[in-house]
Amino acid sequence: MFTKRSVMAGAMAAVMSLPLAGAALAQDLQEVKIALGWFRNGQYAALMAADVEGYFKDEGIAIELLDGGPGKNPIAIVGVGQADFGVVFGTSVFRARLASTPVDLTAVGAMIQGGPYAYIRLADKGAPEPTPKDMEGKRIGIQSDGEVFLKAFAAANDVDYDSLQVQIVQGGAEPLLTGQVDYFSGWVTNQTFQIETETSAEDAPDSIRGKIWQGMLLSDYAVNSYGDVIVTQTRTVEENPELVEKVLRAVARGLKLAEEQPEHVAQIVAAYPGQLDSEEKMIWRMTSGVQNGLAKSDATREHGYLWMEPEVWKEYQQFYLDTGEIDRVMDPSEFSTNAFNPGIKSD
Amino acid sequence: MSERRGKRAGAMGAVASTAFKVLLPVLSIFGLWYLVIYTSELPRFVIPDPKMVLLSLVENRALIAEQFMHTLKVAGAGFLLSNVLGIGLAMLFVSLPVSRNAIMPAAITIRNVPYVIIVTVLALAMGDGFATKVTVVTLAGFFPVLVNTYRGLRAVDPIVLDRMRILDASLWEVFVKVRLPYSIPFIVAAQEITGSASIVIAIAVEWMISRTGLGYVINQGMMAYEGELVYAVALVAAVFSFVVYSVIHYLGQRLNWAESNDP
Repeated sequence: MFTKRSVMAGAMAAVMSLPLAGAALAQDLQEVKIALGWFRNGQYAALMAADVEGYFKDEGIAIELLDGGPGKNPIAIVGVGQADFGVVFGTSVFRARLASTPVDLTAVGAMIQGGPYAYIRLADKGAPEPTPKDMEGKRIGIQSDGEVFLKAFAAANDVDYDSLQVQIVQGGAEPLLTGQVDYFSGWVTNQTFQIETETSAEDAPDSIRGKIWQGMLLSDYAVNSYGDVIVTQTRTVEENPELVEKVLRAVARGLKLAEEQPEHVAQIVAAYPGQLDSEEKMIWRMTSGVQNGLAKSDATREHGYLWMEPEVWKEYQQFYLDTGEIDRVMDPSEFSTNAFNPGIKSD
Repeated sequence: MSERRGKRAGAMGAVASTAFKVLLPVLSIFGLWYLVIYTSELPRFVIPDPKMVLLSLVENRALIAEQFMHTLKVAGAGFLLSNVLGIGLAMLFVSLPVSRNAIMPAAITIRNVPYVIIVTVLALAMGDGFATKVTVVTLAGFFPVLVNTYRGLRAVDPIVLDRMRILDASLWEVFVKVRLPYSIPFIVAAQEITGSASIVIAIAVEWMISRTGLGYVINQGMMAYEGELVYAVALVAAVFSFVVYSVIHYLGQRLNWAESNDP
């Protein structure tokens, strides 16, 4: 079970880590700030593992992770120069470039090769895997920005959208756990842990006790996408390409380490200053294969971790164009590049 | 003898009455809380048992106390600056009426911009540090002080002003000896709003952009699916806001010479 001590240790470590950034500078390392899309947690395990194992130091870099949060947008933070790199959801890269007041950023690598966004349901152990058609007539809980995805999911899989009873819900899995909805849109790397924790709790309500979760990934069934995309100012790409190369090499080594030694990475990342996942969740995240599986694709096997296929970016933009979210598309080479990919391949 | 006993009985009665006043809200809050738990049948991860919340409060007391101090600094500094800005502008408006026409529309506009937008913009312009958080609390809190103080400064009995003029009093004397005393009840009334709002706003800003303070503890609790911790923070914030409100209200009654001391 999650311990309060780890919360306290995390908070204390967060406070104590502040002077450490200054100490690193003393060794002539170049300070690089990376703005995260959310609070530092196991989602960014590769970055933290690379930091702990000295992969950034090998490149002459001292990184400082800037936490995201409800009111933080890494795109803007990198755009105004408060951070050198940002970790963002793929969509925001081309949307930022296509905006009426564009932010001139370039994507240089994708830590997550297929979006973890999925329609998740509870099921009995051994139940058959869900199919999109199963959702017809059911109550579907989605977040306020999720309608466009659900419509695309329904259209791509011949699901009668009008039969779906759509409800807007928050990010937590509570509506699914309380039986308020039958399906719920969430990340297979995140809310599924909450589901597993609650269904296996000693005092779990009978309605959910012992159930398992099943999910249908949007990237498998409707539109491919990239998550945790590393972005930097286009100016940095042009003026300081070595820096981009160095950062990507360290991150790719972190991803490789997470794949090869998940237990070890879970341990070192769980103890990382200011990191918020419990040790239990971190071990689940790293060893269940869910997160490492998303970091790999045919492209990472062929070219290396972080690789981004132009075709995926095209399909991804086309989806937003078709749904009216954007009014034109860009050639992927305008906002993304694999030029700095270090070629560290996945299995 | 009997008089002394009477006094003692009176004092006892006052203590009992105060205790009752404090206990009743506490009992009613926990009573309602349990009522919701038992009637709604919501699971504990949606509405945790008050016992668990109190337990979480005790277990995390060091964390909460430390982060509470961060929140207190932001709220306190923002509260002070709200008063400096609000009272300062009100004084300017009274002494230089044309300034009111120039500044008031801007003040009203700032007051009506949702502070989440101010947070986002300021965080990008000034970073996510202390200054940004205090600025937001100030911008969200100065308006009631401004409006109330302005009203107070103008609520002076014209006859008194006439007399000061006859006595050839300087502007400063009129301000210190007449306008300020008249406005004190108005200023104090504004503190009841701005005082507790400063805490709520400080926590909201911390929740949005900060790695410190009670707002951040809420994020920690949410990330760890630890609802008890979130409720514990809510409890601390609510109790503290209530204390601030009560102290200001009490001081207001003592300072308000114009009206009778109705409770």
